[in-house]
Amino acid sequence: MPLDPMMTDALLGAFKNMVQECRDKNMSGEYFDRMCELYNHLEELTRTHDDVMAFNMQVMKEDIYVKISDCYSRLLSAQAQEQQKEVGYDDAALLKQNLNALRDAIKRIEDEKARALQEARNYDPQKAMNDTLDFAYRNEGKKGGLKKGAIDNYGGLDQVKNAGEKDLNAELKARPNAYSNDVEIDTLIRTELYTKPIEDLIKLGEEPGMTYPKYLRIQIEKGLDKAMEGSVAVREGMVFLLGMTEALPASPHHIECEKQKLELFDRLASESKIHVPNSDELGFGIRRIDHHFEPLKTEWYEIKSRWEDLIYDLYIWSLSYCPFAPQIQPWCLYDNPQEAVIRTQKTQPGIFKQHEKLFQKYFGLGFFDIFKHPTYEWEVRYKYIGESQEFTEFLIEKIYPVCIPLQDLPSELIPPRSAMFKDNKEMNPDLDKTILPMVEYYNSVFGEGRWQSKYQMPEKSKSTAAVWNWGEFKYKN
Amino acid sequence: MSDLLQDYKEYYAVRAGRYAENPNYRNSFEAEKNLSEAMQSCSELGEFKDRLGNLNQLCAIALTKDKNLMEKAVCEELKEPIRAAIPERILEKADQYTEVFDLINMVNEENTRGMREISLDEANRIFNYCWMMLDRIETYSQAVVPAAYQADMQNSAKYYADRIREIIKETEEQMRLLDPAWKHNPDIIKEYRHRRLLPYRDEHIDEQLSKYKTIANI
Repeated sequence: MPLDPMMTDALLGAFKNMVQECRDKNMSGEYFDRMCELYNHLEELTRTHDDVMAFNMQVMKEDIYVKISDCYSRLLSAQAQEQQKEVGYDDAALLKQNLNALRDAIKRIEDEKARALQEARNYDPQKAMNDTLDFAYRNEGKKGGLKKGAIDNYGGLDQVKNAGEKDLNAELKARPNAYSNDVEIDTLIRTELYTKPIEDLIKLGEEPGMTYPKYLRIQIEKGLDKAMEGSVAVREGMVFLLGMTEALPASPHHIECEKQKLELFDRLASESKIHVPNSDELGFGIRRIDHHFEPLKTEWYEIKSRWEDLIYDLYIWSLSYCPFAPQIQPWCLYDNPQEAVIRTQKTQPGIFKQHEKLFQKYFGLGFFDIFKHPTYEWEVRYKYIGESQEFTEFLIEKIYPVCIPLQDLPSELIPPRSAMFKDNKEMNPDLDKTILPMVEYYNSVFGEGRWQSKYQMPEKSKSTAAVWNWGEFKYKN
Repeated sequence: MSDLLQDYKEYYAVRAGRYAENPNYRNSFEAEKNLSEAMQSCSELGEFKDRLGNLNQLCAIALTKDKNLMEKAVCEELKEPIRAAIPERILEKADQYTEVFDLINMVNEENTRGMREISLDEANRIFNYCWMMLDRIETYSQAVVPAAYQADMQNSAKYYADRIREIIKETEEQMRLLDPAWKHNPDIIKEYRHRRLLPYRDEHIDEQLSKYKTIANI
């Protein structure tokens, strides 16, 4: 079965345009024929494959994209050289040709942004949703797709679309810009960072008495050729990424990683006579920094996720003894909730002890070391931690000591544990504030209220617990 | 009125000078210097076409060599031999080329070949993903629970063992689309480029590898 047309249009679009461009320019010859042959082979592969991964792997194995691009480059270059031969050496003509190419480049950059903005403004989320559902329906039963009949099980395609439309309309009423990215595109794509250096080059070329070789020499001496590489835009991108990372940092390593990249940029720029970092040195330096921080981020994540499991074990085990446990998740989702509740009661302590053993084995950390570890403080500081301080202390002081394999939770702990749930004391009351630094940063870049017009703000916390006071948390030392 | 010949001589001199003080661009400096000297030796502009020969092409080859020497050095510094093989192959072949397009094509082909080799090498990191499943197998197998739940726990352990085998099978099917002879080799995970991403001690890695290979029958 062939690949879905929605996929093939995306995969082949650029190459189809290359072939058509060459056809429109009346190109011919060996490389044109070869390019057409390769493109036809690509189309054939989209018809013979039904799995996009297998298609991509075969294209990669046969180097088809590289070969098409090679033919295309040779064809354009040959045409340019032919045009040059017709004109012969003419300094003024060469200079003019170069400046015209630069003017075209400015136009292309500006047109491309305008096109992206237009596309963003014309984006129709209803149509996109319907196209996605049509695609999913056509590809049911295929590898990576929904199970055959999945959509019919929900009442059929029209039913699913109608329900989706209702949800979409409600969403757009609450957040009109939920699917709009025009402000982000307009703000982030600063064409002047690319076009201003090009304009400077054009001005140079237009100076009275300018010759082509003088123009080429002066642009090197003044670094105008390097300025055109867009390094200012690169720096702006790095500043933006650092800002986003600082607003919601997964770890101190994430912040330090982006900071070091920006420092590298500035150091290389300051060492350069023309204040533009060498792009090779910048690229290699960024790779070194990422390479250094990757294992640190991995270790941080591993330690954090293991103590999260430990705390969850204590949370769910103690909750399973509450009289209402069969009526709440996760147990109410089972066919036999009561049976599921008892299973948790009987097995979770054994599971908890194995988790504790592995945590000690791999990282030399015991249960109480969790709260002294930098990963824990980080989660509290940035309001990521799910549990309130008083609930955490309850788990540490009351539940942990009695979470012993083959033993039940002492009955006297059931009322306070139930109260923690019923009185909404379990959750960190600041979970509705975690996102605020990101909202503030995002709005500082894209305009006041922009975040709120696109994304759902968290509901006000229903927790009645006190906010975390790290200074008074007795288990941090 | 401008003296075009003089303008070109000055241009080529400045062009060569770009790389003069940068040890990372030694080949480019030499090639640009040769190009500049060819221009400096002209007494008329028209002579340059004959003196130019393939010096321009040699500048492109020289820059390719310099960039790939830097790439090779970084890969060696970071102990990434699979990635280092790409610039090594490019450097071995670069001097054979006289036409720039052929050179660019070769570089692109080597980069794509390299991407395939990196994918095949890094696919072995499914072991890292399966580490969590090995821990769950150990947890469920060894958790102290009432006798009535032991079979249940063994079933959970079996589920994760089956998942490991499924993941390996799926990965092998995918990677064989690139290389029909590809077989998952988890021992490779002890090589530095993979090992650095496992935040565990060597003895723990050996222990997990042994369990993994038993489950996967490798």
